[in-house]
Amino acid sequence: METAAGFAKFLALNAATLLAAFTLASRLPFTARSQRLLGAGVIAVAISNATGLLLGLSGSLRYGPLLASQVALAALGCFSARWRVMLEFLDPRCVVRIVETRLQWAALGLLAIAYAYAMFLGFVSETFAGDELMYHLPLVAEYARAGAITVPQLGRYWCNEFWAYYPGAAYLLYQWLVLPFGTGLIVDLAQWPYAFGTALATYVLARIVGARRGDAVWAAILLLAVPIVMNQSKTALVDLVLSFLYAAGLAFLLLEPLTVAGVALAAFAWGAAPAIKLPAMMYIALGAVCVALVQYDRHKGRALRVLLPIGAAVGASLVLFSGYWFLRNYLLMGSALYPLNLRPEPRTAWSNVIFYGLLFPLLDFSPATPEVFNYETGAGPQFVCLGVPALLAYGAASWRERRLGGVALAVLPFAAYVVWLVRLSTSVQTLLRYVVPAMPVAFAAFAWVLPRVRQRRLMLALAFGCVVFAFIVGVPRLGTYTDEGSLRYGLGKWRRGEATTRFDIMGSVDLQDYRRAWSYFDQLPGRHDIAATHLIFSYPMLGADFRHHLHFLEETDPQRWWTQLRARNIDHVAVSESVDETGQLLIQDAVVMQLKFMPAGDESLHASRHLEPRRVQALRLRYTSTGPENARVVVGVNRYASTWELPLARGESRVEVMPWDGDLSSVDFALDFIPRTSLRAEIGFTIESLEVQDGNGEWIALPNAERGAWEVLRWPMVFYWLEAHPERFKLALRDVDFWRSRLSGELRVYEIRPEREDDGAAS
Amino acid sequence: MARPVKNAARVPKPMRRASPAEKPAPAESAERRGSGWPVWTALVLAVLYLLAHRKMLPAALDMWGGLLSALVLGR
Repeated sequence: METAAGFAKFLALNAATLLAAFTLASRLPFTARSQRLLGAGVIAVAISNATGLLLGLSGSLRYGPLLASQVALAALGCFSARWRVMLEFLDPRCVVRIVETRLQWAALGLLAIAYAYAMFLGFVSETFAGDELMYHLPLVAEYARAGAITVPQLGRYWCNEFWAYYPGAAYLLYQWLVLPFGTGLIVDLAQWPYAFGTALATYVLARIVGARRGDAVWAAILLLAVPIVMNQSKTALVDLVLSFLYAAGLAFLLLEPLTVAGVALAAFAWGAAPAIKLPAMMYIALGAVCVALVQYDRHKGRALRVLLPIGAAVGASLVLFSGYWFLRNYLLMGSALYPLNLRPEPRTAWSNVIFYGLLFPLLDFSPATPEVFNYETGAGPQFVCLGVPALLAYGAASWRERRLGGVALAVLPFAAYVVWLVRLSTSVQTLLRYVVPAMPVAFAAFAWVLPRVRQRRLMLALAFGCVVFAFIVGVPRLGTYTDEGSLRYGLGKWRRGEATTRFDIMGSVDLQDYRRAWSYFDQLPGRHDIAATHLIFSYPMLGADFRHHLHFLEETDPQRWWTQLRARNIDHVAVSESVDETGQLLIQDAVVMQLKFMPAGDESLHASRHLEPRRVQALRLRYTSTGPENARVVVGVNRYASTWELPLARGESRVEVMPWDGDLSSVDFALDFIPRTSLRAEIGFTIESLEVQDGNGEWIALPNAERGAWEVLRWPMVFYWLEAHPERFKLALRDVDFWRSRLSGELRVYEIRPEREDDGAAS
Repeated sequence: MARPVKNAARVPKPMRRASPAEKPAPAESAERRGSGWPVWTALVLAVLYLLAHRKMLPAALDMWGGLLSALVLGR
């Protein structure tokens, strides 16, 4: 019943905002329906952003005031609406008319399946993406709970605390999906509409650069088929929002003739973009060069007269829509651009170029995550195969025709690519995710080139092939990170009616310890204060309705720590045990995610605070079995517990999860497998086989039933062995084939010497 | 008296300057002739891409099997 009421409130709020946007868009002086529709999208975002900012700063960001403001705007819009125009550009038959061929219908059919599936997952499955659990969604939740824009305490992730200071304009937009429900029920669909908005902007851009209408449809199709775009449509990240605003702004500034309304829409889009994601500033700078050169081509010596008003409008919009976030960070942190690091990273930049080559990452292959397309990896074949040649052709034609603007436009995606290749030093596999805002230009160039190539049919067949490839490899990864088996397992439970908690249907990075903790706190009645340390994924700890408060205590002195607990009335703690004070092992912390939760006051907690990092990455694989056919497997606190459980549960084995009890007295050895990170590049390994000897001396091969279940591990992999010896553990590893000759893993064995109570140590 | 032309067919026709209106625009000309290299470049890149991801399709088909089995059969 509550959910039904939530949906009713959701529909009312969003219908009001859209009505206001559509009615205002009906007054726009554009001739093309697509431009008007794109204008409506930008207006909707502008309305949401401005209202969210005003209400957020005044501490009234609640459903009531939000709905009232949107209804008032819709009413104002209705007074000025040109209804006939509005109905015309909203007529879905317009879309049907521009689709020309069966091939396009087939591609659109595949995309319809993909996005319908993304929406289905948005309703039934839980949020899953690492970044959103770390800091995107905690900020969304904090704004919703406080009814205001705040800087919440988020803890240290990856050695840093700056996450809370990211500009939060996107999180204001996401309140349209959160406040009606009072929960994050469908928050993972926050970017879903922006995928289509970006596709529409791509279509408009294609028309602007001279593509035929039917060919421009291909540009939109290719954009929607980018696996990163598909995958991000089921996340509350911010890349698609940025892509939409950037591409729309670029389109309105390249329109000919330039109109005041177009400049105003572009000014908003670009002015708000840095408040969505800071790298937008780089894109705006590149786009500004394009716009300036295009206007120079058109107006020559009089270009400045056009460019000055554009610059003034964008500048004013930047102050209005992004200024607050910069000012806040300047006042709080002493830098308007905090936490953006503008310093070059020469060492890592060179390592990327040397290690990967300048163009290799364009092939979308990362040894760190081979065969994995998810929300941050996998641009699909269309960008490199179709977009790159088309950009070269468009750039060459522009050069021949002395159109500097065209050349700049063709260079834009390449420039973005090079910038991110240099900047993204340690995670080159996510490089193309950052190029997504520039991809509309590449696909627009593809639409332009279609009538200018000899083998048009071959080119179209290739485009369709790209869509099919992206569909086949991208869709099964939807809603997951590296382990699609995790979500599949959950969906199976959901289908059988056995999914009992929210976190049963969840993709990937939901390690079992986290799931247990999340479920525990989710089902814990009432509101609680939870002390946490180094929790990489804190969002679900808040509970579905964000009722719990997390306190990140950095105390190292046990007495002061206990005092803090009592002073803040903290009644629960959640401890990540792989704490490293130097920060070196926090990467492992993110992966290991040893988590335990217990009522405060439990003395074993006290003990766990004082275990040394190497000792407390207590991945416990306690294994006892009566035989391979009906094995009794006890998986302790295991870093990859969920992925271990999958193959075990699928086989004949029975899995029992044992909580970590803090007792290290039985630890003899730890196996620590550390991939050699030569040149600081990330590398991936594949577990070829894994066998464990049970208590009766039987060897049991853990089946690799799920491809990707535990075969792709980006980070150092650690297995700790309890009550056993390494010789009872057979682990065969192989490098990713491509790099076999260059990389190899090294196996280190660490002896664990747990300090005992009687030794005077805490543990 | 002018000498008769032996082979009239070989006589080149007088060159006629095309008027600017008759000259095809560069873009139209490119459209008519069409370029071949973007297609071949795209094909080469597609082959390279497929080579880099040669294991991906079989793995993805496996995933589809599992996904459909979970959604339809609950397994």
